[in-house]
Parts: sequence; structure tokens; C-alpha cells
Amino acid sequence: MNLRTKKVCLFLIFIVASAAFAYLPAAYLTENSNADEVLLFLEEVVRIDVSKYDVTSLGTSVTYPDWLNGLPQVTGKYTLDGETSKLDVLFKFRSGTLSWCLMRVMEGSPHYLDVQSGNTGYMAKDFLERYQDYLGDSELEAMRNILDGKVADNSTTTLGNLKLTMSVTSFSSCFDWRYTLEGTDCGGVDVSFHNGHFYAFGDDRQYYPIVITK
Amino acid sequence: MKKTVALAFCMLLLFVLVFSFLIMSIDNEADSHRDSAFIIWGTLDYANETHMGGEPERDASRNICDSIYCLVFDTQQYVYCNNFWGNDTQPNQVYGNVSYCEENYNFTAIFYKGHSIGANCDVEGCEFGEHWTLYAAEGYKHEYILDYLIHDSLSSINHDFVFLWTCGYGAEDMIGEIDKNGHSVGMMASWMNTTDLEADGYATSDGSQRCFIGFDIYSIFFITKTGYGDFNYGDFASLFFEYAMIKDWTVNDALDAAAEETHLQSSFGDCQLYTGYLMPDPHGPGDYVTCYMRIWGDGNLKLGEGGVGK
Repeated sequence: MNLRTKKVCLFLIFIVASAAFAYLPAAYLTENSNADEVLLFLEEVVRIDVSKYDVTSLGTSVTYPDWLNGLPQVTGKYTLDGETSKLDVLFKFRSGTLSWCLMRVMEGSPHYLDVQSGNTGYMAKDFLERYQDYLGDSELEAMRNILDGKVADNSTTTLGNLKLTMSVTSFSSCFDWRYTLEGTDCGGVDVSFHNGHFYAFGDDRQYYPIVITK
Repeated sequence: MKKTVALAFCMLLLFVLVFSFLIMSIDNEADSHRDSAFIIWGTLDYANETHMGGEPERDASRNICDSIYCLVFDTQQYVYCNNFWGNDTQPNQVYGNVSYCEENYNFTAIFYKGHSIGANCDVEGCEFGEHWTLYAAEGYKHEYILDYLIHDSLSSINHDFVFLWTCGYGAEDMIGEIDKNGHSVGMMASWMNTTDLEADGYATSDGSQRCFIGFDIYSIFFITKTGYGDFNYGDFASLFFEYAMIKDWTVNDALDAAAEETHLQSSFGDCQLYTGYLMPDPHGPGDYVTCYMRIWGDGNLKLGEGGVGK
């Protein structure tokens, strides 16, 4: 094969490879790292025994909502199929950070790595402690401290510029830790539990100020 | 030289094959849901500022319905997709369109934005007393869209997703009934020919693959702020459909993702649409009543791919 032939071949291979890559959804390129992150969150924070499930990605979509001022939002869904339970997991990454995760128990009862407390107050406290370890974020210490005192159902507790709202409805028990600035809500962390299991979590501390200026 | 030409030819052939395969796989996705319809209806009447929201609500309704239409149309997941908001929302056009969709499609999704009002019917032997209607384009004191005439237009019973952003029709005592003569009352009974859907399809989906969304007492204005950032309920409606169009996403998934983005809470079950929100009571000045968005039937219904999962 002479030099010219080699060049022609290389050129054609380049075209074929480019055409194939052009059709790969952009989201695919980040899908694997998102999956790792979501599964890590489920394992380390929610304490789901992910090894007991077959995980299927149902695809992700990437958008750039105006209110995020051009930052990317990756939205996706996984199904976790186990022998005795099935879970649907939704998530959103904003600017590369996991900012929302919701776990819906579709069948059975989730496989946990540890025994779960039946008390939602303890569940919230454990969740926050593990979330702090997962993030390595000392800021969450203040949120944990506010839970040290007894928190009544449907109550609001304020400690400095941090407010904890605990609400119980027929559907869920919800804990919302939120910073306030001159009486205005700012970013925070919230978690809710449904039927004794983790249900939804959100952390908007990184981008909430952007929302205000939408 | 011959080898070079042959090699180049083979590579070009390979390129064409790869390219064709990719194009065909994309086209096949579009072809797999050729039997679905997505229709938007809506009144122009927002004359009463206090109880209808006035001109800002009318403008928001037009814009949001237009944006929902565009995003559904752009997905190419519904072969028949139309936005009849405004002047085209005429009673006879609604009945005709219901009939057309029943005869030509396997799955029909409806979104209506407007108002509700009671009416009488002239059907002989009707024992229901009051019937329920939707405002057509011109609205109050003009011809209304009657529940039983919608029902009379059904044939194959394919209106499997009906979302009425209007007052009352999501309440348990408003879902309606169908008598032994096939005469109906109520919007769920009339659009979907059933009164058997699970009352809380969000928490306990009934697996029926049919879903009706309505409001218990007063619907919330599109222009009402959710209390989170600068979002309003028009944003919620628009985002709901954006997420519902994602392949393999369910109605519940879309409700959760839209609620999370527009509310302080992280799920639909935690936000005020589900837990209850206060609206001024037109019958008691200064009073407020607690209202809800109700999800009837199967929250696990998938609207993506034209409801092809059904």
C-alpha cells in the first residue's frame, strides 16, 4: 500500500468515524459519569444496595434553561430491577452537580445496606449526615445541628439565618433546610420520605440566587 | 491503482451503510407512533379579572398553549397535533374533532385551558339535572361545550389522556356518570367513557393506562407565582409536557420533574398542587377555599412516543 493509498484510507476512516459520532446524542457522552454519580448517591446517601439491582438507563436529555443563565441541566431516569423490588429513579444535574433525585418504589421493598429507622426524624438526620460525608461539605453541619432539638410535625424552627420547615401530609414527611436573607428564602436542601422510604431530595444552594434574578 | 479505487469504493460503501443505518433508526423511531393525536383547546374569555385572571391570564394561556403545542409537535411523536386555543375552540369543532380522533387514532391526548359552568340538557328522559360544560372561544353566555355531546362523539374510546385546566372537574363528586341509555354527565365520564379510574393516580396508579387530570374546586391561574424563584403555574404546565414527552417518562415522572423545577419542594406529592392551595372563594368575599390538582387513573401512563406504550 503506497503512501497515497494510506492517506485516502485514513481520510475515509476519518469521515466514517465522524459521521458515526455526529449521531451520538451529546447526553450519551456524559451518561456514564451521571450513572456513576446517581448510583453512588443512592448507595452512600440513601443506602440502597445497588449491587442487588440491574440498572438500566432510560436516557438523558440536556437543556439550557433560561433561568439557569445558560448552565446545562441534565435530566434522566434509571430503573433498578431487583429480584424482589423495582425502583424508578429520576435525577437532574445542574452545572454538573446532582441537584435532584427522586426514587419511586414501583414494586416490593427496596434492598438497603443497613437497617432503616422507622422514625422520619432519624431518617432525615441520617440522610443529612450521609449527604455531608458524600459531599464533604461542612456547611451541612449547621443543618444537622438544627435537627438536634425536637422538631414537631408541621413546624418551623429558625436558627440564625437557617430555617427548618418540617411538614407532614397524607403523602409524605418533608424536611426543608433553607437559608434566609432578610426574610427571603434562599438556597437550601430538602428531603422527603414516603411510606417509610426515601422519596425525593433537592439541593439548590449552588444556583438558587440565579433563580431570583430570572 | 486498482487496489486504491477498490478500497476507496469499499470505504464509501461502508460509509453509506453506516449513514443509512443511522438515518433509518431515527426514522423508525418517528414511525413507531403514527397513530396518536394531541389536541389543545382553550377559551378566549378571561373577562373577569378576579376569578378568571383577566387579560394577563388570557395572554399567558395563549402563550403557554402555543409553547406546549410547539414542544409536542417538535418531538414528532404525535402524527396529528393541533392547537385550537382561541377562536377555533367552538363546540361543534370540539365534537367533530373528538369524533375524528376516535375514528382515526389509537391514542388521543387532550389539554384544555379555560373555565367551567353548569347547564341544562334537552335530552328526553335525562335524570341528571345539571350538566357540566367548558367555555368555548367566546365564553360566558355563548354556546358552551357540553359534556354529553362530547360523550356522544366517542366511538373507539381512545381519549386516554385528558388534562382539563379548569375549575371543578377533578373533584370526586364531579367525575360524572353514564346512564343505561349511554347518556353522560361530567367531564371524565364524557371524555373517557369511564368513572372507574383510581382517585389518586399519583400515589396509587391503577394500571389502566388512562389518566384524567383536573382540579378539585378552583383551578390555579397560569400567572399565579409558585413561590419559588420567578416561576408561575404556566411554567409548571409547560414543563409538565416537556418532561412527559421524554421517552419512557410517565405522567408521574413529569409531574415530579415539573414540580421540582417550579416549587420549593422536590416532588409533586410534596407541592401545594397535591397538598392543597388556597383560592379566594367567589361565594364568600374574603374567604378562601383549599383546592387541589387531582390525578385520576394511571400516573404511570407514558405520553412519550404518542402514548405508544399503551
